[in-house]
Amino acid sequence: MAKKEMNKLSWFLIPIGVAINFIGGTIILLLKLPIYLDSIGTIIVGALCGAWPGVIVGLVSNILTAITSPNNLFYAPLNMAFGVFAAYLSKKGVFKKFVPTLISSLGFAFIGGVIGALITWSLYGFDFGSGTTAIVVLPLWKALGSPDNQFTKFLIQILGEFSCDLLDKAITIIVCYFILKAFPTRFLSKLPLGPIYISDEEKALEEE
Amino acid sequence: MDREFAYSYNEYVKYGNGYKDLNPISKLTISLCLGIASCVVHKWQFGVVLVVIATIFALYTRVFRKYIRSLAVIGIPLLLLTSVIRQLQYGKVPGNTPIFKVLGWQWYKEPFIASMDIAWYIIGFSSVLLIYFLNTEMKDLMLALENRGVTHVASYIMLSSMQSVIDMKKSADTILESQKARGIETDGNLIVRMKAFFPTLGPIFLSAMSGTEEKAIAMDARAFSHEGGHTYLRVLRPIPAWEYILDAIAILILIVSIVYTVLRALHRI
Repeated sequence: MAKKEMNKLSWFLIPIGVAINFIGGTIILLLKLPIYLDSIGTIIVGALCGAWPGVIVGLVSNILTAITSPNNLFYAPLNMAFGVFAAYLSKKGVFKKFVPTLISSLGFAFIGGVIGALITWSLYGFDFGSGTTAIVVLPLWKALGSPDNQFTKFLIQILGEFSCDLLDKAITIIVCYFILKAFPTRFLSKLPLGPIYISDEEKALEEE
Repeated sequence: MDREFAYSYNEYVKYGNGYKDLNPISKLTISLCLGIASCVVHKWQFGVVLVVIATIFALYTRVFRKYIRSLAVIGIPLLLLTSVIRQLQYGKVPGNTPIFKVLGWQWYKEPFIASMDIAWYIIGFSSVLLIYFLNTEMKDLMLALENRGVTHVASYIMLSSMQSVIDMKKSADTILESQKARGIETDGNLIVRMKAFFPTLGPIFLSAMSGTEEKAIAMDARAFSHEGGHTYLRVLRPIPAWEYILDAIAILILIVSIVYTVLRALHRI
């Protein structure tokens, strides 16, 4: 397939990535699990199609959630950053093996922690936010002796966001790993970063 | 034969409501300018004014129930949690003025005002955008953007994303039921429910992704890749001059807000 047509397949994968972001969360609610997987589509599209499609999936997902909850727009950079990071790790071949994939969840949680904390800090007047992370952040702040120093408080916010994100991102990454493994070779060969996930045996068969 | 539906495509898109008939980009400009002004000014008074204006428009455009429900979901937890968190952090700082007691817990004025400033600016921002989204079809917004030169690929991505969410939800319900019929437990303790997650998710995602190739071919057969201009079934009305004046007023409000905030920060006012 010509390179131009391969890029077009990425465009058609973007709406699917957005829908996956929504549906992951819906299934979690139906199964009453205490997490919210809203980045599966962003990471999969980023891993298969590159940074820009991943960024677009993240941005469009946030725009659609903003229809009923406009304050979600402020967190769009977070989802977009996941798409970029997923593309970077995909090019390095991280998602080909389970252990590196699992370790990469630390990276995603760190990005979620730092960027999430920056956004929350800016939104709430350079102070602790009142979102779900407050359940972790405030007790942590009290346990550390209620420091007044703004930088220390910001670090506590990062730690709180990181902790809340870690389990969510670990499960997200494991789901992405198994989905990437399950993709048919015929489909992977047409995507910009898809050939990374074609096993050596299948590549050898193709060459034959 | 009902020709009214067919003939409706000969006319400009109209909803019979002054706000809904505004050009989608004009409405977006006004909403974003007012919303960003709320973020810039960062005062509860500005947020409350925006909420009042948005509520009036909600009543005018008959979307009050959806509007108030969404705003309550955003606003009530925000007001409560922000107030409580600020009181916990700053309630006992020396010099703060006690105001009232909540279930025996003394609250203070300074952290209360600070929490109201934060909560109401976010609520004000949300209210104007909620009115926009409740009264604007995404297809009209994308059409207006295409008329301004935005690529049709962007329209496809936005509109197809919305449709894909609906389609995939139906598919998810079906697959969840069929997996239950195959004996996968979805009720029980946390581990049981976690085990049900992967066999539910896998088929949904893989079937959606494998359908993408067929969709790409189908769209190409419908001239999606055609580089030249596209024609449109729906046509938005030409933008009258007074809409540009409304946009200019909204931009002016934003500029004044920025100037006011900068001068306040420099202690000039």
